[in-house]
Amino acid sequence: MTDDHGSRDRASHLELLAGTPAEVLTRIARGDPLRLRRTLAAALRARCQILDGDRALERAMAVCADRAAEGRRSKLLLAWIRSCAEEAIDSLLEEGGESSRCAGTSPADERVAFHRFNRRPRHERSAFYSLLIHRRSIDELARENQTSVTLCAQRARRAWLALTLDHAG
Amino acid sequence: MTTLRDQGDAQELLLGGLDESGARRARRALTWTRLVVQDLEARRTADSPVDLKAAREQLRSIGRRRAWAAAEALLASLLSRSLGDETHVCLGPRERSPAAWWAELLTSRETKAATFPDPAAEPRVVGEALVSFLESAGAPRAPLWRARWLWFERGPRGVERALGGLLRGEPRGLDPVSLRCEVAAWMLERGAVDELEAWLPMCGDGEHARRLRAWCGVMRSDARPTDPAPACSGCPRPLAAGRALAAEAVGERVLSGTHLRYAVLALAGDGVVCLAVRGTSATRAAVESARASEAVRRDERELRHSARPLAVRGPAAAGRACLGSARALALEPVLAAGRVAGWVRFESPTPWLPNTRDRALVRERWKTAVLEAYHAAPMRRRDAGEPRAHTRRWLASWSARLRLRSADTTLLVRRGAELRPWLAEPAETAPLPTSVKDLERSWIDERGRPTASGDRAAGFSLPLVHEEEVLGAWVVRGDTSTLLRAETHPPVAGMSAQFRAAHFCDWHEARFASPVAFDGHSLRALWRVRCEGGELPELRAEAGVDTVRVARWLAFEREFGDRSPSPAAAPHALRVPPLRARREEVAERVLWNLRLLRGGFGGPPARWSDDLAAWFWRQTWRGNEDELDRYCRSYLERLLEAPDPVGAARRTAREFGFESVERIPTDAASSAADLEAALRATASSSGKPNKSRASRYLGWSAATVRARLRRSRPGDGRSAPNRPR
Repeated sequence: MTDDHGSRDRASHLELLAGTPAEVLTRIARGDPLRLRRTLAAALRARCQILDGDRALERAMAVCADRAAEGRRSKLLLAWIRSCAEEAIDSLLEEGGESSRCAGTSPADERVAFHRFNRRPRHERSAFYSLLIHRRSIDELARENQTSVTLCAQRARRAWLALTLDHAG
Repeated sequence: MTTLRDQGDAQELLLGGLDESGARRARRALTWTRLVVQDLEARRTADSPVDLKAAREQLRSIGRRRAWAAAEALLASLLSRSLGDETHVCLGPRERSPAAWWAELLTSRETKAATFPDPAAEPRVVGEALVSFLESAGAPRAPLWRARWLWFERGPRGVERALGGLLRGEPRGLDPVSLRCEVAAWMLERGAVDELEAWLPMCGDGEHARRLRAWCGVMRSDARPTDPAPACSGCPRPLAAGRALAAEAVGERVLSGTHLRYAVLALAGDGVVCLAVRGTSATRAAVESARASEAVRRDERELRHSARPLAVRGPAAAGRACLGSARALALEPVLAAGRVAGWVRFESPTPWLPNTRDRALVRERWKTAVLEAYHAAPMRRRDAGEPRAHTRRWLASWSARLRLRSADTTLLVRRGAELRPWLAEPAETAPLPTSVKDLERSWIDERGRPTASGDRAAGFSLPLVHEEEVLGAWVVRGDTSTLLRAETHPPVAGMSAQFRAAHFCDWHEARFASPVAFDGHSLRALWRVRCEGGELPELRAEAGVDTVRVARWLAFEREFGDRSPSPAAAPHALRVPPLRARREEVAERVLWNLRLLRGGFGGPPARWSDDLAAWFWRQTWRGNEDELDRYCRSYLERLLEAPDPVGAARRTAREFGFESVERIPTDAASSAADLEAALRATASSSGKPNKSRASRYLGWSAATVRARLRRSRPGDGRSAPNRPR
């Protein structure tokens, strides 16, 4: 195991994953001992996708609890946790039904907007993330991708408009 | 290169082209998206509480989905097993064995309340229980599986209809494009290539749709496929045929190589003989005995009637096989002078057939053998049988119209190779043709009109021909004027056709124990079918009753003749003169057309008048019935605008680009014939000529008509028609 977990951490994790899925869920939901929230955020950032964080976390925890038996057998616990996070994201994307609880915005509208954004090509989502979420310079982004500023802007714009309900994404 | 230094510049660039409200909405969307992302990032290390209730609900949802997936995988396994290996329906990849899925399903928390039959039970029963489970559990794909399961009861078409219903209802959780692809796959499953071609444009351009398109091309068999059929990544087991097609030698090895199964059959004498069988262990005797099936005979009758290749694909082919089990078959006719002399029967255990070129190659290879067998055995001729009521009435009707005494006419019918009278005793004044051979070279000219024999006093003989075969003859004997009046009377082809119609009525009554009403319109429609090789669906669109009549008419023709007629041979016996030589039919046809079209236009009924009838009668109608029909359509449209019938007719004629004929030329060589035709058309019901009305029809003055009539003296072959004898 090349995880950053020591044998003591591993033993504690194995204790967390013992029992029925419902018992496992109760344990891992208390204080996020598997650090699923961090794993999930990293996975979403890497994939340049947007989901409601709470719902994604609940789904990831449920997936971990459901696959706990597999986790107990796994020698690569961190990899297993990452795969659970990925599965949770995939299932939410497949459903297309992720709803946000941001105040002041209709969950149905948000669901549609997120779904439309997540279905845009990766390079468009990536440009949007870089320019508008991480607020990087467009010149720097163009240099990094070895492309033109205009193309970067077009990509980011398409992803942005997908989030804006009144415009076809 | 644009240089942007701050975020504000970048946003302005990205929002360029949007109006103010659009830009405001975009900024708002960006703001809350940032909040969502920042919220997740900010709490990644925080020990914020998780909604345990919601997480438990998610866990239950995962269990439910897993149970649904297991049930669906088992259903896919059961359906694929029933469909067989050579199916076009893609039910998804097989990830695990059925046993593993059963274990998953039965140990699921979600199926504790459900009961399932023994997995080894009949697939249909097991599947029904699984579909019911999906429905009761509220699985979004349950309606899809309910539709697919209809295959057991209603076949591919039933599934198609159910899926169509789902599509119309905008199903939740089902991708419409995938559903359309699946409908296409079921169409392919039953070999409905025409419907598939029309449907495929709605299936998108995905991998599955491309594969279906490729298969459609192969099924169409118009050309040898040059590209291997693309494999569907979602399909767990590409079809055996697909694997073969994907191989390099796509056309050679599969479509025209050792996998070709066919039998060669020839018409010989009274029956059909099998000359050869290839690509299967079936014997020739087995093929001949398999032909006893009504379905097989129906196909053969269809082929012999149409003289065109016949192809059947899908489940419909199953009951028509002669060489073992078949999912597609084709009959390729071998023709001798336009008539079917034999055929090659191709059968395939897969849903596709060898393409047309390969089939033609095989047919050409066997053509000589088939023709030899066909010509070697003499064809049996069937007696026409004793004419019955309708035929007698036909004879009486024509005798009355020609004002012939019964002793002047004789109807001969064939008895073997001889013709014998059946109605009136033949007069003793002149010999009658006594053999079919005599009649076959008897007196009928190229236009289908009877010509006088050497002995003018003997009269003439009208052969009653059915598809090049002489069934009988109508012999008219009398003096010269009788003969020539009869010669110029309505077309012989019409008489012959009406004789056939009378025969048909007799046959119909004998066969179906019910009379068939025959009016002039239907008869003409039947002519068109036979003369022009028209297709039945055209008539179906017009009237359901005609469909029955036509279908039975065709059945009659098949049964009546020794050899089924070919469309190419039909005009010989049914030659119809140009419409201008049958002017008396024009009025009837116009009225029929106007009645028919009025329904479509919803317009007022045409006000029929003698002037209008006269105008129609005078025109030359160089395009014959087709031109008249087209004209009637335009005429009715014009009539809606201007209710003056004759004026509208003239204006429509100008639009059609022909000169309205207001007067028949008096100097034309045919003017005497036109005069007679006008007198005939305008005669009273008792047959009395009406010169004033005839002059209106001709566009002549009454004096001209009288002068012309005076000029025609008895003995010069131009006596006035309908003159009392």
